[in-house]
Amino acid sequence: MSLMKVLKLVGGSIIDKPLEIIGRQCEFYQQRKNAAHDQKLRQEEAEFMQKLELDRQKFNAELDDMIADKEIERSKKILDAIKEYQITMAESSKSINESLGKMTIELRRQAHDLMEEKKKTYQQMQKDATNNAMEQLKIIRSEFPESSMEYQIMGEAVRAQLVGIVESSNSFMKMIDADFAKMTDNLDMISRNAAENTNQYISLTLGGLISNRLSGGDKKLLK
Amino acid sequence: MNSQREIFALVNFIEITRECRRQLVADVLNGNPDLFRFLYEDKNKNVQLLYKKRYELKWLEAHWLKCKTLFDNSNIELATRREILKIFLHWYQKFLEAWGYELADAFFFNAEIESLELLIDTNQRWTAQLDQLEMSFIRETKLLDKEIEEAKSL
Repeated sequence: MSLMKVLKLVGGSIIDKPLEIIGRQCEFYQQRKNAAHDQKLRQEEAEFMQKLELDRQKFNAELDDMIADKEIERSKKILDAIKEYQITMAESSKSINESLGKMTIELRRQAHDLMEEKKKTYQQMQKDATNNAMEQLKIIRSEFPESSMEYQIMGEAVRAQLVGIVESSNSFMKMIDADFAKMTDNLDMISRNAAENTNQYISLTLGGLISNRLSGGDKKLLK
Repeated sequence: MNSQREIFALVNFIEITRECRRQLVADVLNGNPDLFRFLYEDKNKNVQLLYKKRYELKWLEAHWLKCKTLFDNSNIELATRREILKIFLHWYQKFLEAWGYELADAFFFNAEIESLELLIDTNQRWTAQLDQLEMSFIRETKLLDKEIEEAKSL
């Protein structure tokens, strides 16, 4: 009888059990190994996530810095444009105001010259009319006796003519003065409107220039 | 690109000045009222200068208005238009300086023309009033002269 047969007869557990125990132990070691591996994996994953979070934070911080830099650059551009606008505006306003001032003074001078010329013309006309009337009075005095009706009537007519000249003179001078005042008011109004329109035009033009410049800068930033 | 813009601006500026020059010659030949009054009609020196000035400003302004029309009728994009206008303004400035003006004066050409019209209109009103007064003085004197002559003959 072979040994194996004897063993089988005694019972297979003598051989089987140790094998089973070894198998279980192997399984146990395998499980332990797997758990350690899982643990290691989890640890590595956690470390990786931590690193990722740090990188993300770092990246965000860099991005914030970059945005801040661009904001500063953009603000600088705006400030430069505003500064340039103010300088151009000041220079333009200065030369435009000078030009407007020159024009207003020149127009007032011309208006004054016209008025003086008309007054002179009228004064000469008035002088001629008065001289004519005085001449007529002389003729009346020499031609007609003082007590005559002709002397009285014609003398009265000459006096009425002289009064008429004085009245015309007054009304003409008043009209000229009133017209001159109205004219200078209108000239001032035209100048004021022109100044307002010009300032508005300059603001719009320079405003457009600035916005163009900034949008050009923005395009560059985007690139 | 810049030189192309310069050439465009220069060619158009020359064309505009030519057009305006042709207009000036035509106005002299056809008797433009302002030029006619300045050259021949009104003997009054002050108002003569106003007519001359009004014509001159309208003529100078016409250069700019023609330039504006040129751009209004074109499809040139805004950025290019600005560039060309800058070049055009440079030439226009030189042109105005040759006439004794500054570029800033050009802002007020329209206002000055309006003001000159006001002066000319007021002057015309005064002249009409003076003519009326002169006529009334002459009439009064003639009537009295006639009365004296009639009385003398009695």
